[in-house]
Amino acid sequence: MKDLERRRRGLIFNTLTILVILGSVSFLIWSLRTLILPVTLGILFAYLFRPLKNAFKYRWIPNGIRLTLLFAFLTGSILLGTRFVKENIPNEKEKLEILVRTKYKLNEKFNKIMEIDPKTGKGNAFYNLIAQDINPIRKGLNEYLELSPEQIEAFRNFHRGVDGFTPVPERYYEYFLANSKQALNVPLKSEVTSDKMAQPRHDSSFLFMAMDIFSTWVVLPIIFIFFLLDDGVMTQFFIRLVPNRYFELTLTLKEEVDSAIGKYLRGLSMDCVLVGIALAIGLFLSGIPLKMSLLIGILSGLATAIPLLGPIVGLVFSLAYTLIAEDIHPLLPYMTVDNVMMAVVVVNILVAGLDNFVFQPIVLGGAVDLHPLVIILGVMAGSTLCGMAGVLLAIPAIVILKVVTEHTFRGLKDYRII
Amino acid sequence: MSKKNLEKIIWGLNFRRKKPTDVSRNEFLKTVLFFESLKEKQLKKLASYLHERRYEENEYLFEVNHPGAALFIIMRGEVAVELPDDHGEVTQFAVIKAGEFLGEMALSDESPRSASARALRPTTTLALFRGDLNQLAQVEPEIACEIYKTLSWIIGERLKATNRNINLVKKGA
Repeated sequence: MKDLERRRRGLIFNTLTILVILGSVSFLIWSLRTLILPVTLGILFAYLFRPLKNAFKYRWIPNGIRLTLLFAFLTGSILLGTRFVKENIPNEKEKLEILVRTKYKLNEKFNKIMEIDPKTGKGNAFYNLIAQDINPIRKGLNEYLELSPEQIEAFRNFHRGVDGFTPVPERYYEYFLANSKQALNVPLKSEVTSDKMAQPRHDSSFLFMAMDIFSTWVVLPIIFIFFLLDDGVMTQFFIRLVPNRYFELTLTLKEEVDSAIGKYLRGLSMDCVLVGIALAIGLFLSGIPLKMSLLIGILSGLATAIPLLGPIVGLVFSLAYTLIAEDIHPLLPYMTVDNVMMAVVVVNILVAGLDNFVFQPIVLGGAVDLHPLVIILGVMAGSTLCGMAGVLLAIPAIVILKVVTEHTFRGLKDYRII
Repeated sequence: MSKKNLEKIIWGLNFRRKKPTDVSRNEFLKTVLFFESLKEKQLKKLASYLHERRYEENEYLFEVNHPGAALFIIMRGEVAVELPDDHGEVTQFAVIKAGEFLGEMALSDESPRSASARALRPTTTLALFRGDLNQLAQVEPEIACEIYKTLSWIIGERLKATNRNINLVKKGA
């Protein structure tokens, strides 16, 4: 009789839980989809920084000053980081230079490796073997790197000299001329843009879009601050809603989930930092300039938060740089512009190996273990369902789901609820 | 001495303090043995870690063999500490009244509860969760230290009382 009653309770509980979760998740995803990413990131950041807040607790510092100092430190770090990245993001002129240099160097390196004769267009045996397959890709890349008429005009202007910009170096202008023989026949800016000028401008819609993005993302720091400052009031509110029967179970569950997510997030952040530092050091030793090494390290480190993406980002950015590198200053012997590409590939492989066999076992050892297939499928599913937000949040969501499911079932059995 | 009698003796060792009237939570906490050495400011901080729960008559605070996770302090009402045997017969060991507490062993580990606690009439409790006490030990070590000190004193007193009673039984036999 007691068993029957317990089973009935278990069935009602399971059905109701599934219905409530499904209903709430569907409703929330649909209604608040634009807020999901900033709100979740705000909560995750608060989780991440909670130990810092607790560690920074000295009796002789009043609470208000302590929190102000903590926020000043966090804001300062974010501003400095943003400034560094912003300073190293190429401006309009540098973007054009990169396009010109990439196209020129790509073709130059390709012709060199394949030993292509510029007059006959014939190359070595390897080229003859793969020409039919590789040429369409090469053509596509060249088309992608082709400057538009407006960009050609702008590049010419930058070469002549524009206020606030250093003139385009002669060497790059030669690349530009070599890239595009039709450059001299390109119509003037006035002719090119006359049609465009007739069209209405959409600055106002851009402004609205920017305002929209701003108003959405302004939620992130607010959520972050509230969750970081919360000393258990929010938790107590939700715990109060829990029936007495599930009170102790809920508290235990909350603690276990809290600990698992905290460990995972802090482990992941540490992993990102270690990957970024290791890659930056490796690239710098190979001859990539310090600033560029740091920038690639930061980008790759950030991308490490999304499983499988970190090594790809590191490899693509460092290879792209070696493609356009004119000269290098390596600290390691036998490095030249010609073999730096190989060195960069080796550095990326080494960092990926370090990450998998040293960093992750140490910093993520005690955290949640996820099967690689689950990670791949999770990221793909996240991307399909919610785009970029899904890619970013897929793994934390899976971690939370795994921990909650495991501990809930164990707890429900321990407390003889099911 | 039967196991039941020994348990009766152990559970009978209640730590009754001043009789609390209908006072604010902070004033009430001052009357509880666990927190009597804490200052006003510390009590305020501690209060944010306590969960207020209300129980109907005959509702269980916890049941025997369930994993223990929290200490319960009775603010209002009465709670019976009892143990059902294999035949469903229930032995009542103690009645815990306002200002007293029960389930304090859950603060040290998650071993199963040794008895059940049932509200004898509508009861309000304040619960201190083990995980919260661990967190408190990190952010407010002085408060946590006082609580642990009291906990170890209670365990020590219980051990002494048990030894005394075992000796009495031996002498009697």
